[in-house]
Amino acid sequence: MLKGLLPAWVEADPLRSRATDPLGLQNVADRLADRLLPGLSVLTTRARYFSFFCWARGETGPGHNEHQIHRCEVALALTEKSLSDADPEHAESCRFVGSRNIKFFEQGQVPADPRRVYKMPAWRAYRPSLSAVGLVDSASDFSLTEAGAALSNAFRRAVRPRWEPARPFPAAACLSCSSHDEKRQLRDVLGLSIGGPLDADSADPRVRRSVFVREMRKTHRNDGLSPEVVLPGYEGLRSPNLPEPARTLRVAAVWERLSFGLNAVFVSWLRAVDAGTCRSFERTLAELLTGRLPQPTLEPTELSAQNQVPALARAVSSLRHAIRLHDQLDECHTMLKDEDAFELARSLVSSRQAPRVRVAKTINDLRSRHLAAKGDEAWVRECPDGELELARDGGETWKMPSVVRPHAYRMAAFHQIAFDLGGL
Amino acid sequence: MARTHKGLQWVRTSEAIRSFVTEHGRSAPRRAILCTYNFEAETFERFLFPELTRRGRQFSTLVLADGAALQGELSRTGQRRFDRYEIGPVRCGGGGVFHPKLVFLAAGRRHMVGIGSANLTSGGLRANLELMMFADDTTECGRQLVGGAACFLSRLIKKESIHLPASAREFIETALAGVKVDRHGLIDSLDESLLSQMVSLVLGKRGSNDRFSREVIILSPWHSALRSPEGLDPAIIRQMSGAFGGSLSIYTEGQKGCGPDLGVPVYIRGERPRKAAVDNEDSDNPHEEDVFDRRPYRVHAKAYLITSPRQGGTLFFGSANCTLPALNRTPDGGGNVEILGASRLGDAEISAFKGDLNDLFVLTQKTFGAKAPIRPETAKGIILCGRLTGGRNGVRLHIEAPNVERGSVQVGPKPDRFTVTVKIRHGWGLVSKPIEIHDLFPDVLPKRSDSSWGSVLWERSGREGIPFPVSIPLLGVGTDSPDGFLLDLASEEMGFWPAETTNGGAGAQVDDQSQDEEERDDLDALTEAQHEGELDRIAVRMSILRKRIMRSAGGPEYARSRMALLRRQIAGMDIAPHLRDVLLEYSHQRSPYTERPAR
Repeated sequence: MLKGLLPAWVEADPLRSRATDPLGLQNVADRLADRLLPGLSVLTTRARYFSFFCWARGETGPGHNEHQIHRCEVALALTEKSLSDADPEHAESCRFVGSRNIKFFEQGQVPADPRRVYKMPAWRAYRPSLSAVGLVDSASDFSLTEAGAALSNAFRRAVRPRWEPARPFPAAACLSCSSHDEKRQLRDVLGLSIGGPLDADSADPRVRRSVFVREMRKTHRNDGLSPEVVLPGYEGLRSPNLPEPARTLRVAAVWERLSFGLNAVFVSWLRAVDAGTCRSFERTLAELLTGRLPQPTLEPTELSAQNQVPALARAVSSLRHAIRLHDQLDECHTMLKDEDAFELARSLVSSRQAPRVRVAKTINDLRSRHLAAKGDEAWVRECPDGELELARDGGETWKMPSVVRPHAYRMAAFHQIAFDLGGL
Repeated sequence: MARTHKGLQWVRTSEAIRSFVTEHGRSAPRRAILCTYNFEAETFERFLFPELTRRGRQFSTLVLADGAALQGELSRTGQRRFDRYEIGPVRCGGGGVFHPKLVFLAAGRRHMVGIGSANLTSGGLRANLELMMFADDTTECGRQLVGGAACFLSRLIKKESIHLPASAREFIETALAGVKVDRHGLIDSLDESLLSQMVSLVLGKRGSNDRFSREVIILSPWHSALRSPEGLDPAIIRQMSGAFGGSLSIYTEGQKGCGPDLGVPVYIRGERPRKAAVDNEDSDNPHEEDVFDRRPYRVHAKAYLITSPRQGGTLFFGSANCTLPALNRTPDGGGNVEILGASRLGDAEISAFKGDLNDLFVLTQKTFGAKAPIRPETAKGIILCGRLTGGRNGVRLHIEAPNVERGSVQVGPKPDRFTVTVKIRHGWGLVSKPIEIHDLFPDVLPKRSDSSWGSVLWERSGREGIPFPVSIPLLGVGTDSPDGFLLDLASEEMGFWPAETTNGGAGAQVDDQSQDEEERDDLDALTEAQHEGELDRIAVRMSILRKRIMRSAGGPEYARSRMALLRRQIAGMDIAPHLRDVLLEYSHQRSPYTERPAR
């Protein structure tokens, strides 16, 4: 028998933001985003964190010391907080990790346990990207590479931070104040400043990002980058030999039409389960299947009780559009690799069965897909008497998803990085 | 990252595995055995499997899951492909379920064990309140746990009433080679009911006089009357009360603020709303305390603390729920396969555990009528699993149906499409015609040189289709091609997988990510031998395999056991007798160069 040993409680593994995806459609979007902007993520939104983390990693010695890096982050967050307190405009324009929690932290010094300010170090979100762009080496405790060491020096020269673990940094460490040298180096490693001809089909992540940047310069130089702005321009292209990244963007547009439609139908059904109006929901959806509908936009849609019919109409129209595009484009099969999702949509919008039958079958299929994606964490469950109910733990303040929006494709995050570095 | 709470630590399963892999994962052979009741492949592949494949340190991974639960999961998810690991469904002949939750990792001579209540599901890894203990064999307690897990696994594969794939048995035997078995490290239900073992550990063989001054705390989920192996059963609570005496209290999950009426004080996990959102891109979200650092609300941990005023207490924790099939029966008598860790606690540890329970649970006065959980369904169909092997004449599918002496079964690629009829003789069937293989795997055939080593096929049972997993066996057994078999074994022994190829496996090589010069030489020799004649290939591969085993970081004990197992594997191969004799003779030869065991 063991002596004096206690087991441990199991702490939740991360990546819960991904796990909010109710039908498991995010994986395909991630794969496409990897083709467009490899090595980055929706969390890597500020360029200067790259140089800051290089400096922090270098300062914390040869071993990987996440705790000390987290303390450095909190020191930076305190700096940003003091700048925001002095200038409300800064608070609006300069976003940083921990901005919400640090409002409630009264002390001006970094606590010994940085988790008192915020629990999860941003280092974890940036670490994979730092490694992917070649600033740290993940195989040897995230030690700095040559490029990482150069960037760390650039940050040190610009900020001249004194390593006193309890103290905030000087104002020059602000995330919006990258030096010219830092910007130059970051533009280079992120692929924002590669000159000359590029191989559009290259597997090199830096070249891929660069190809994406050039494409966006042509079409969206002055607009914000987001899927709802970028993707509709590509879904109408019919050429069989589109170069990258236009080809991937065209496929992403098809996927977003499908994802929007399926998510909107599923979440609307969940709301109907909650409100006890399943029959009315099914009747409405069946009626919409028989009529003509205008082509929808990719804008986020609110799913309220008042907005149910227009939202469902947009969903049905999106699914029809997705199926039509999918059937016209060969690369949908090879790049999306989720034919089941298209079959599900097809059985709803273009089957020859009666609309009520199609709706019932689709709801059943959506539930199965949701169960497969979420497992024990399914949002809906069957009571012993066969009735369905939402799997909420408490009764009053459980939040039903109220908006369906396209997947992010790292576009907004990359746009913010580019903005920090002087624009596309 | 483990964190000190008031009492018990909080750990992530993935980080416990990662820290072992980081520290000891350089040594080969690298093997992992994971036991679970429910298995969600998508969750496993997203959260845990990457930890077992980082930095070229690939662990040959076997997942054992309950046969019926796996059928349910495969029916729900439909056709899918599995990553590079083998799935072994387990069926209990007596009607119980395979319910242990165990992680067993071996890297060279180091081992790590994790036991507790967490399944390989999104709930087990991320959503439920679970208890797990992870330890490696660098400490005395870790050695006890490793010995206990080895004892459990070695007896599991010998138990005739429990059906698991032959390839899984062989892999477990290989992974346990050289591991010292410790019968006292863990208790399991394979031969004796858990309750009687708990009683003898707490009260001693003769019993004790101060029974009625004891306190018994039961932590177990409450699943009302659903079909589930989980739950609390009023009948077993009476038995426990009779066995240990004293006061008894229950910590479980509540429903809308009420707990089950069990005639004893019931504490329930306080309830709090759960958030859900669709694809919120807010960059601050992942750092929100309520998202990452929440304390789970769905109770799935199982623990039994029996304390005595003068002698401290004993904590039992693991997979067994407070039900009759879990605690009071053996698999032969219709019970479940379960394991529990037993730990003798002092006053400080007891108060730490109780402190956590008081933090997490509240006493409820409101109750509802208690019902015993309904037994879960047993596995349907006759096929346990399929395995794909490469042979001289192409790919062959071996069907394993352990309860069938003679018969036939229709199988197909979809639940409503059965294209091939397979004859079963003495529990085995074989599909070897290329056209039939193509019919069964019309899209992609899993291959060792592919990114997927597993798929799902369906057998006809009446009017419905029953899914069963098909995998590439980890040790390459069942092939009629000795050189392919030896290459698989050699690369497995060295801890490398065949590189993924796009040309259907022709010219597959092993990934060359070795840091060791001698290993690189061996990999080069294995690759170069592909261009030699068959006998030369066999000689090179056998020589390297033997050298790797004899010089393995697993040590001399491992080398002896592994060589004995290798001879048995060769003797059982479906190859020409003269080749078998040559291989056996070669495996018996001694050479001062190759057979210098590692120190």
